[in-house]
Amino acid sequence: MSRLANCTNRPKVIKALQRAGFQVHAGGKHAIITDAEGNFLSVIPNARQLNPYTLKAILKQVRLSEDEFVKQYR
Amino acid sequence: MNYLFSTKTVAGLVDASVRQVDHWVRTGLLKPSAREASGKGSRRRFTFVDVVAMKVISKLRERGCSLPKIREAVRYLKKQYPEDSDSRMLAQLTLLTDGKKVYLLTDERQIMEVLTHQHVWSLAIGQIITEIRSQVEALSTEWTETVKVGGAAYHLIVVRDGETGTFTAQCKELPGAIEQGDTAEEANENGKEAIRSALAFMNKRRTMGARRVQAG
Repeated sequence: MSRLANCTNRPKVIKALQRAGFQVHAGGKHAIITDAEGNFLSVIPNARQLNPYTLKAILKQVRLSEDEFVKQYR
Repeated sequence: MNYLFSTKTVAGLVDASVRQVDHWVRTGLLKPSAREASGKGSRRRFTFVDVVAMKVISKLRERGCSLPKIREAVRYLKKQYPEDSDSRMLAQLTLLTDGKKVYLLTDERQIMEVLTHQHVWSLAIGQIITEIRSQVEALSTEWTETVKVGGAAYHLIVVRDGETGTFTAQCKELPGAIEQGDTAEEANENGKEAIRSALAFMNKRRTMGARRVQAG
């Protein structure tokens, strides 16, 4: 979990997901991740720091490997 | 301290094997207060008090007390304190054991024998409770809560991160609805909001998203 524990800043997470080819829709109370065609994949909680477990669940949900995510996160 | 524990977690906490805990429950030594298993596939859920009682049993076993003796003691205590549940009883009393028999230390600071004479070890319940509490604090636990959103019932899987003590909630039916919180209640409330957001988004889009999410 330590790898993801260092990658929990929400704006940066969103950037990383966008780089990995996902669309992020801001709206209402939550940002929403969809694939390139706009199919719903997951919600991103509205908190500055994401809990590592939350992040892990999101990555699993959008089917992005942790390695790939960490590479895109900067 | 209102988490519920699975058999496996309990076994880890009280230094017993899963089979031992299972056996104790099956043979009626102690009942899980939160939920009992019935048939195949349903899961037992233990409360904190149950865990403490299990630990007492485990310690008694460790000190060489045989299970039939413990059973006898529990039966006796049940007769003496019929209004208490098994777990509460075991968790509150101070028990003594010489490795063969179980003795009870009553409030009057007298040793009242549960079975027969002589006493050696005392089980400091207060210490056991503190010990287990700190273990529980460091534990990453997981449980399920049922919430209502727009008249429909959803299940939230709540995970507690032992390192940071924060909570993550993910909806079982809509795995895309993920939220978090500093307390379990907060994670619950946020989880509900996430379900609403997810539903609203999917309704607006009218995409195949819902089906895809379920398949995932």
